[in-house]
Amino acid sequence: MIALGPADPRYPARLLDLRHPPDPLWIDGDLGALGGRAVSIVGTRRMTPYGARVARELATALAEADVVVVSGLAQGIDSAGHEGALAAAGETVAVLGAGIASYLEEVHGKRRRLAHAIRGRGALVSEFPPGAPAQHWTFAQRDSTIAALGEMTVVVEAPVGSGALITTAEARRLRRPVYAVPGPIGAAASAGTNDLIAAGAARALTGAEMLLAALGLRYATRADDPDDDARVLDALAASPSDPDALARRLGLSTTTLAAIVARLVIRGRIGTAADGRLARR
Amino acid sequence: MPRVRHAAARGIRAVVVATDNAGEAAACGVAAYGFGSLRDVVEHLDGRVRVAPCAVPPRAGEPRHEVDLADIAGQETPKRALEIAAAGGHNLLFVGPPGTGKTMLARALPSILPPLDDDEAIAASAIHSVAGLADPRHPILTARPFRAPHHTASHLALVGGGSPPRPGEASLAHCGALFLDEVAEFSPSVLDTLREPLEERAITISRAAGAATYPARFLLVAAMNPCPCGRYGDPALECRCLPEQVERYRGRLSGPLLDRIDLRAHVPRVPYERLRDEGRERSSEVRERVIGARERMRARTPTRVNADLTVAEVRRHCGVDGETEALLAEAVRARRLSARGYHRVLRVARTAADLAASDPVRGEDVALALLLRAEP
Repeated sequence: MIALGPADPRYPARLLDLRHPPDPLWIDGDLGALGGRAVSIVGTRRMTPYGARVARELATALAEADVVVVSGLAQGIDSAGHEGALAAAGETVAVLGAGIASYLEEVHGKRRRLAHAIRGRGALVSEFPPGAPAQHWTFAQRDSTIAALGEMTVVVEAPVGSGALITTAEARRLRRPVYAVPGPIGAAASAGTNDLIAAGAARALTGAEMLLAALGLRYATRADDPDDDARVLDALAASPSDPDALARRLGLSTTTLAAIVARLVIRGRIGTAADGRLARR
Repeated sequence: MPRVRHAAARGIRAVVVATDNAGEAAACGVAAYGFGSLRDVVEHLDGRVRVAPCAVPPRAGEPRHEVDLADIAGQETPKRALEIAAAGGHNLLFVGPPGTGKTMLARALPSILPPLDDDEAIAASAIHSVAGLADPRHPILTARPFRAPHHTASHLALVGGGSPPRPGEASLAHCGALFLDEVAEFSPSVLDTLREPLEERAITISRAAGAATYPARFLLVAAMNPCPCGRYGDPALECRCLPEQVERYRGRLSGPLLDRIDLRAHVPRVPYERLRDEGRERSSEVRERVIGARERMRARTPTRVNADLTVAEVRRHCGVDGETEALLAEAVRARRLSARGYHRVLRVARTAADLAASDPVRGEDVALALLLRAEP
């Protein structure tokens, strides 16, 4: 772990745009992950399965184009973003709301494994001394740092009043592009993001292709799926589904559906969620 | 009853027991004389009062089932899972929001299980006899046991114990089914005790007063909500749980237990218009298929149902066509399927094929097994 001050040539240049750049910035991991092309992906802890899929998909597409994914290693969208980047063998940076040592001591379960994976493929960073505990105000400050580390910010799902909206506000102050993923009208998890779009504070994001185009990069398009596969994937785009409902909706027999599903499961395009429903990966 | 069976197996043809137990003893195939006191026994042996051996008690009539599959609307895939579980002895987990019929589905299981054969009936009845649960008028069970312990059950209640050691729910479910509703609410250490019976098919209880081994070969059916508030994935209601709460909740079903569960099915809320669907299959029709499938299994592996096939037997009996094999090989290579998961998919697929009276395991059987597998 090292600490860099703003005067250090290795200090992430984008942070210098902040009114008060972190001094010093504590870094545990690969310094190179902080200087290159990077996009911040943020959102609510209470994500929906739809938000989980979109965050993962965007992060995977960015990682495949060698863009670093920056987020805050909270539950929900943040974790999904980090996981998506790691799944594509990309680099990802987690900006913590506590000191690095105290975070690693406190965290357990899935995020503990995730934190250690990020140290190996990217970096954990914090503007707080290693032993500093998390407090309410530390998260708000860290949300601004996330905005400054990315060339642009994507908010996947955020209810009104979400901390993710601090990140988008900071990104706007820094005059960096802000994208919001539109969600269903009436869904609490998308109320904040839909408001951003309505107020003109964020552009509606229509997919990974749009994001990469904005970065001046090409989206590695996948080969077209056979018709039936595409229909099943389409039907699962908005939310996971149980096999019977899916078969009814597509007018397929359960046998036909099972065959398509088996093919897609084996290719890693869909999976069975822990509750036994089918979900896109 | 186990003592009488033991005696009968060693050539003893007449036993003297307490009046209340005479029926049970007679059912074991010996002449059973029931007496109220030792004086009566002495008088009988001296020939002063001849007592006739107890008549073999009549078997209870055809068991009546509380739930028929035809009572349940929709849920085609969960019903398929139940049928496969019943036929191949595969343990099963139902996941779904509260009130969608997980419990009702599980309670329909006895109606599609094959009838007890004579040996099974005696073995299961013997355990009920030891536990003091035998019906004196019909000591021999005719229906497969279906035990549904509450989630507050203790070690003692679930796997047995005490002094002298008494059988628990897992043994009482021998030759039948053990249903754990709200399985995530059971104490993890209590659930853990099920590992022994799931692997050994028996439970050994050791106490100062002696050790006892009770058989415990049961079909495990478990049901749980998808998350603590129960709304996760419900299209009509918003779930209030954080992702890590959901994970912790699901984590209560420990790896070793989950490893023993071959099938998992999501039980969704059935839309109102589907509640009036027509032409539902009756349990008796499904049961015919289950019995047929069991016969096919017996012809192949006389002592084992498909869920218990060894790896060598899987290789011998679960061959699939080249295209399907290539598909599975791809999944194993991409690490989307573990070696254990691969064999498990083939065992379940074998049962699906047996239910369709098909000798080869077909592509669609493998597809169904993949759809219902419990591994992530």
